[in-house]
Amino acid sequence: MKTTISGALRLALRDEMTRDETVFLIGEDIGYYGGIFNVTKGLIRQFGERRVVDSPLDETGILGIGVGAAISGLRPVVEIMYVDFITTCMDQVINNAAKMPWLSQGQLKMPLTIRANFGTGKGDGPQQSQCVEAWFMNVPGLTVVEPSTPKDAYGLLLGSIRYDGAVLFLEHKLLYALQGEMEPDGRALPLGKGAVRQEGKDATLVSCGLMLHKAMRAAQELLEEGISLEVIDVRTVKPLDLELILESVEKTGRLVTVEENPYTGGWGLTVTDAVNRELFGKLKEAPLRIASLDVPVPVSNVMEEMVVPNVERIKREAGRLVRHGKGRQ
Amino acid sequence: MRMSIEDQKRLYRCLYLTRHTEEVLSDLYREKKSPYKPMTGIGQEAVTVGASFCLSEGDFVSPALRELGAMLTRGMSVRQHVLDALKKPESMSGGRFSAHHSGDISKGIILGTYIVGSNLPVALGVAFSLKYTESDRVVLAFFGDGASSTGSFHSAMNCSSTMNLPLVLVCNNNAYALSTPLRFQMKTPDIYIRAAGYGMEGVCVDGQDVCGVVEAVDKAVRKARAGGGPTLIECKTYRFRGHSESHDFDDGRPAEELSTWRAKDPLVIYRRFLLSGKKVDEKALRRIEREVEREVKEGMEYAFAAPELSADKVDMYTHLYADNGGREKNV
Repeated sequence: MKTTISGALRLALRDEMTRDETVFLIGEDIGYYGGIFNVTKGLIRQFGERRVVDSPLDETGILGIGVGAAISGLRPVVEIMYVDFITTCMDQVINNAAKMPWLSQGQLKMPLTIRANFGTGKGDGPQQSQCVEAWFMNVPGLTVVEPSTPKDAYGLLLGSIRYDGAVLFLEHKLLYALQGEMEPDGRALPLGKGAVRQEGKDATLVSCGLMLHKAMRAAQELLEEGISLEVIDVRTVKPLDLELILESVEKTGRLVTVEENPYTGGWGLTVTDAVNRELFGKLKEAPLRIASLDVPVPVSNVMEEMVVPNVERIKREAGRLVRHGKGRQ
Repeated sequence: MRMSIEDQKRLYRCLYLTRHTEEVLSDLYREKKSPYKPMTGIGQEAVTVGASFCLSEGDFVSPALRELGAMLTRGMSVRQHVLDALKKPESMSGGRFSAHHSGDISKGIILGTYIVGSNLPVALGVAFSLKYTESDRVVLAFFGDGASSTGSFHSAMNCSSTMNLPLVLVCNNNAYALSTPLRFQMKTPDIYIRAAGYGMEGVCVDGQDVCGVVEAVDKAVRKARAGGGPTLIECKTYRFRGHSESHDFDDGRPAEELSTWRAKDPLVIYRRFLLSGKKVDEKALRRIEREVEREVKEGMEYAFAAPELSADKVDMYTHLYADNGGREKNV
């Protein structure tokens, strides 16, 4: 069937709630309102107020309920309306959700999924458009998932809910309406496995989320100019599927990461680090990172467009790397 | 709660076990015979032990910092506590976590955290689970006057009341957040009055009188069990020692204040109460004390003699990620 990413997410929630009585949803405006981007629309009518919980406007309370419920036998799916709001409950995410299983030597399980929308493109500004994967990569114990297609959104959300550890499940707000083929077959995708979206031989583009789609456009346009790019969708930002990436870069000899987060300290550094470490002598060029400027996300669409990598910039920098080396401006 | 003579003796036993364990560990630390630096609840046992004493099998307790009394009353052994304190391989966390925040969910003790107030939202979540599964179990969560300034406290109060969850919030108001007195912490000296703003029942009791604590907490536990929602119980108490055993007793608190409170030792008060009832005599209490002293001695001996962690046997990554996620290590 053909559906959108938000439709696929809703199907995953519906199917898993039907299959498993311990799965419940909690968040702000997720019940009768249906969620700020309609992902949970209608679920409260199907499952009732017990399993679709409209919470107070309090992220610490939501996350606390998620953590406490997870260690006592339930499988909470909590929604943080915009991922930027997670700053107000970082304590629960970092100090409790990520650590309790390890601190208890596995006596406690943490089957907690934290869903949140994120990302630029709507003029939502500096506290409602951030791209925050890198904040969480530095926290041992967390898993960070970022789907880019309806099929992946469905399978990865099922995989996240069924996983016994804490998962931050990031949904790009510009991708909710993206359509694609998928089947609600109840099958989960494994976490930590990337996918090759396009095969190529001149360079490997590693990306995820909205940037993956921009990287694909750039790769398709560069193909017409005779440059063949392999595009990898990491799907899980932590842990990264480094095996898949290294295999590809060993073949192409060039690496470009395309990231929406600010350049300094971005998730792509983990990729370039692994590539430098493992493939140093085999690289044709130094790895190149394309990321957002090191500034807050502005509300002006004109300025936002300048901050975030676009197709033109990816084409220009990746093309130059293949043609001349030294992709950096 | 109507307590039989056996219950009363058991309660005294828990109080003395907590006091004696902390005193022995503190003495060992001060004599440099133990590396473990206790942060004791000496002086506050009527609250931690008394409140925990009201729970039944299957209930949960969420300790904050000075709640060894809660752990021991819920069935954690002295041996286990000292193993945790000495960071031995046999500790609950295998050397990964502090004895102050140790948990054992099989005994209903929820793993704690160093972050003040942060245990409250977790306790809230466990209470959510209990309501979700239509259980008649309850959660008892401890916190101090310091935690009452945090957002976590507000979250636990507001959400538990709004959702009518089986949570009993017990405040150990010992008048100091580390060194900061109440007058720098809040405008009113009372915390229980805040319950009204959340539509919750708030109760204040003398935290040195274990009978009063038991009565108030038992009532709140019964209410929560019956679906009546949460209660905030503030217990006015005092810490007889420093913030930790490495802090001098003279930590800025007025000497007069300290001596006034020390005269209200919860163990002395309860001992006197038991003897005045004429059903327990001095001999019976001495017997309990000797029994406890033997248990503590045996626990200490076992734990101190237990093998130390050795670097070549450390298992660093197990349980960092769940084993059903298709990978073993972080990248």
